[in-house]
Amino acid sequence: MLNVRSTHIPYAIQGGCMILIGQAASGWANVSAEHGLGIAVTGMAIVFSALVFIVFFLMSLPHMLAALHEVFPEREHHSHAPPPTSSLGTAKVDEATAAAIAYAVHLHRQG
Amino acid sequence: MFEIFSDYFATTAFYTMDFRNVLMVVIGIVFVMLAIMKDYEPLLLVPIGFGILVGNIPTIAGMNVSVYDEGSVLNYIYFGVRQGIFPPLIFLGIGAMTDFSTLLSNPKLVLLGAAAQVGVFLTFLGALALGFTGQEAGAIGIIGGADGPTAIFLASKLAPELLGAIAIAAYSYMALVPVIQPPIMRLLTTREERLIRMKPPRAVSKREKMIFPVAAFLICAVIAPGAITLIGMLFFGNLLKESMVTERLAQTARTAMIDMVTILLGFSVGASTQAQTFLTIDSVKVFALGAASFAVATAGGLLFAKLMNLFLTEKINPLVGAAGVSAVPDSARVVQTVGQQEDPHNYLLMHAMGPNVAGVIGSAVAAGVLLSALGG
Repeated sequence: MLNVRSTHIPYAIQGGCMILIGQAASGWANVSAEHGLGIAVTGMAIVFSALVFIVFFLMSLPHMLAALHEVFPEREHHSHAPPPTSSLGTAKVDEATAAAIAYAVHLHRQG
Repeated sequence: MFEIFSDYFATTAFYTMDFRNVLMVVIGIVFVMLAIMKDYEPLLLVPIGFGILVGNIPTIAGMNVSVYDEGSVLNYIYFGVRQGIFPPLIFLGIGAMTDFSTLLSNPKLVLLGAAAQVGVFLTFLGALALGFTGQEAGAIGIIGGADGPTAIFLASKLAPELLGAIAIAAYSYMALVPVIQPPIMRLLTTREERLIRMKPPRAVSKREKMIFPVAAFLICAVIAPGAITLIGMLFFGNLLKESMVTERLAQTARTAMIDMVTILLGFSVGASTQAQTFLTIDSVKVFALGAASFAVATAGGLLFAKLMNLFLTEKINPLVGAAGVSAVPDSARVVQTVGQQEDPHNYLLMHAMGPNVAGVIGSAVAAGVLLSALGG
């Protein structure tokens, strides 16, 4: 049903000739001509089925992982994040030390 | 001398601008003001609002500066919208910033994201009833998915002539989620329902988070192949985040890249709203249908949550159903706000994030279905 493209062309019959109106119909006629109801119902069903499958998958996932854990226990994961640098280079100076350094600099400048 | 000045004057906006352009300029200014003063989706409304200003300064033929002039700079930027390139890139960034933990911890809430898509399909029918073609109706219906990039993607494929109106409607209503949703939420729920407290979500393992994007992509892509562009980028971005080995890529996708694409998309969509093509009866219908689709989607999620409660022993607060319209994370925030108005100690935000991100998946699948059914 979903591959059916509407070929509906609005027309009127006048004097035995079929005349294109050149304007889309409206109301239920247009819904029907464009297979609207079928697309809407099927579409909603497809959306629901996709998400229902996800729900079932997610509900079974912990059980699958528990079984998998027996075979492949979860390890500490490696990462491509930059390695931590030495604590000496980036260590934060606590307030007391900073105050002591500042005082020493102050005394040094005073000669 | 006077002739030169007169000729030049004829090229200025003083001469070429009509009342419709002035109206659009006012709308652009309102967008910018709403973003700055009310904090309504500023990352979107500022680029779109300013784009509207740029797009509504009329240019004369031969200047080659308008978004619709072949070869102009704005036309090249708009290429990303016209060809549906920007929305999947935004989905990549959204995937890289989304934490699916709440959805993984309480899978049944995913259904609320599906239920809210009723707004898409009922609006599709409404648009057909108003005389739009099937393709136009599909593009209009997806506004109910409350997802700007998805709306732009589908409109660019199905109804490029309505792209500006659909994009502006989708983003405007997304910005107005805090205004549109609360009355519907209060109308469709009782005080007792709004007071329901839900169990805290369980902890989710890293493995679950890594497996989810791959499995969910495969499920959605097999069922709705038309959704692979959007869904693929969404889950690819999420895998970059959760794999822990591509943190640099995930970081770029969720920051610099999504910001650049948002700027280009918002600005060029705004610039495409030239009054002469934008201010039409069809645009008015698109805005009316868009508002209806948001309301229906909100109601759909809420009512489905109430329906689920008939069968569940552990009740869910029906307010979280309103977050099934995607609009991440605004609709989840609205759920939190409305819930706390009844019980300040009821924290629904984490619970609402589950249906909220499920709504993103649901609207992308809905877009894929409409693309398969109506696309050329």
